Amino acid sequence: MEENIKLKFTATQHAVNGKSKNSQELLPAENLASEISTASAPAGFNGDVSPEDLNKAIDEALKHNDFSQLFPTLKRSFHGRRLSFLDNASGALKPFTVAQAVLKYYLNNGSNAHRGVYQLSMEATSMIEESRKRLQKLLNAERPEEIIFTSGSTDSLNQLAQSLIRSKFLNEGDEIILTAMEHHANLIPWQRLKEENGVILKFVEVSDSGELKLEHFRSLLSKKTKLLSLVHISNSIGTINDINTLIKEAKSIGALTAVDCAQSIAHGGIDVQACRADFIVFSLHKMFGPTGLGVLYGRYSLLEQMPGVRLGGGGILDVTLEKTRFSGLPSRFEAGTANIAGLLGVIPAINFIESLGMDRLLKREEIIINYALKQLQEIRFLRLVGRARKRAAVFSFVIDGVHAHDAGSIFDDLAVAVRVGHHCTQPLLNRLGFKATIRASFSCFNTLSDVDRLVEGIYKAKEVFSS
Amino acid sequence: MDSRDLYQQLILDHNKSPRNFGELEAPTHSAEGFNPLCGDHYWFYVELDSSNLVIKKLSFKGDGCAISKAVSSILSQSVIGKNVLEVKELFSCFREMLLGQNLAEKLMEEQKKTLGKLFVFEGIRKYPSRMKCAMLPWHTVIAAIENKKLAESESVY
Ligand SMILES: Cc1ncc(COP(=O)(O)O)c(C=O)c1O
Repeated sequence: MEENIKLKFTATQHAVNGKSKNSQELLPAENLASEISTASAPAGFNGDVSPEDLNKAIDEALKHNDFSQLFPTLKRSFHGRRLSFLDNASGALKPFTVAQAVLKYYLNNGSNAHRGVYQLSMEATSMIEESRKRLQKLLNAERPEEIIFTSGSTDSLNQLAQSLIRSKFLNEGDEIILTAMEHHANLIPWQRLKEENGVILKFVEVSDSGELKLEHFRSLLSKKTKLLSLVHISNSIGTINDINTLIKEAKSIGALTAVDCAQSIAHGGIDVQACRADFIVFSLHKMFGPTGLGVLYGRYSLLEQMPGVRLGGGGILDVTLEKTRFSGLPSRFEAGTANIAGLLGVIPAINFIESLGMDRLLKREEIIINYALKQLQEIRFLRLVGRARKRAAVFSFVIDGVHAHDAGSIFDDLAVAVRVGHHCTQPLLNRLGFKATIRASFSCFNTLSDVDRLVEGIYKAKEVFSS
Repeated sequence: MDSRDLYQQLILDHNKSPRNFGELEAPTHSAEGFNPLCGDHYWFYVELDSSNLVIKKLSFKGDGCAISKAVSSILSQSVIGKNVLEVKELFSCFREMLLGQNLAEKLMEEQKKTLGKLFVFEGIRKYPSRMKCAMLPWHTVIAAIENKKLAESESVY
């Protein structure tokens, strides 16, 4: 399984080999870009990767159960051992096609979008708008303007909270229902509204097994409820929440609904028309895309009534010293220069997800979930934190007698990358009786041998601390 | 790398049964120390003598990883009876051990002598992510002495 599979491509015009006749005809800059992107591609790939190349590469990866041709980071070793990357809930590794797209922008373009009337800038603009359309399709959103680019889930939630207050969708005395399971990013921005604007926060309780208590949620619903905002998949214990039911019930009393899809976007995905959420947020780096980017999706009819939060260059119709008239959607929410290079990595990230297919991705993760659960439950000195019936491939646990942070260093010695701590969900861990856990989170490129390496680390940590 | 270089027997022992653990009856100074990232959380209690210079008693309570707990415990043994300046010097020496380049042999010997038991933490040098854990107790003790209530550790990269 660990052998390096050599992917051979009889790729046609993509097999530009730096010195071929074809590349001689390119402009110098493009020539450079093509050479460098060829250099950064794994053996077997030349220049741009066509959809057929990608499909083939994914089929090969699945066949050999080895994704390292697509994810070059997987080839790295630490202390002489191959990396087992089990921190995908923090951020997934990137297919090289994403890196290529980012690089290509810097080598081939580098201009600002939405500004210039010259070719280069218009090219950047149209590539960004293409990314927006792909995201619209991915979410099954009705219009591209419903996709607002942000710097990540955190930024999306901050902007959402501030815009809802400024638009008067939320007012003093209104109740917001959150859950005790939220990432701090879906908690602290609302705490700010409580302190500054007098909204009231209510929290759906979490059971000992780490599931939301539906009955308790129902008891919180009232005429005063103006917003439900909750996490789809818990980033720290892997619980998959039944968002459809909660959204439906919140909507039935007229509340707005928002879902934090940071984890679910690459593990099952989300269909905004099917789940009927008014707003959703997610980060691109958790779906194999570049870091520092995210999306705030909002229903057009709502966004239309909401002001932008970050103000400045862009997002305006006209400005006088006294006053500004703001532009429409989505630019009103996107003042300032975007992370253009990063946004161009969105398309290859989505291409990867779609080529692999959510079904195959989930199937792989399901096999890992079942295997990991079995292995972890057999360890007597290990306590699994969160045992929801519907779960994702995110496992939080503690090893009796070993502090999570110490275990983290022992895993690191074995080149097993896990996260330790509270995973930005301090209230949830407190509720479940822990301060810190070890978290192993898997992605489609992980294998059962990664689970074995995790288990090896657990025994090693126990052994070190038993002496 | 082998984690046994990091988790020496002495460290494991102090982690299991920390010395000077608990609250003092009449501390003249105290401070809380917190590592938000990993959740190490300690309180240090100091009783200075009447000159306000010498540490008569020192204790701590709280919870955290083996590194932060063992540093707290061994540090508590090392600073009782020392004056405030000596404690700060000891911390600088400890810090240097963690951050320092490879010292000349002679300096290394000196460092070893100054630090005594605290030299057991030398292995942390190879674990930059854990330096925060090792420094938190020191920052907390010094905060207490300087009449500050709250200490955070420092990040070292
Ligand atoms: C559920 C959840 N919400 C929000 C966030 C914040 O994402 P970002 O750091 O990309 O803003 C994360 C990332 O850790 C997350 O897992």
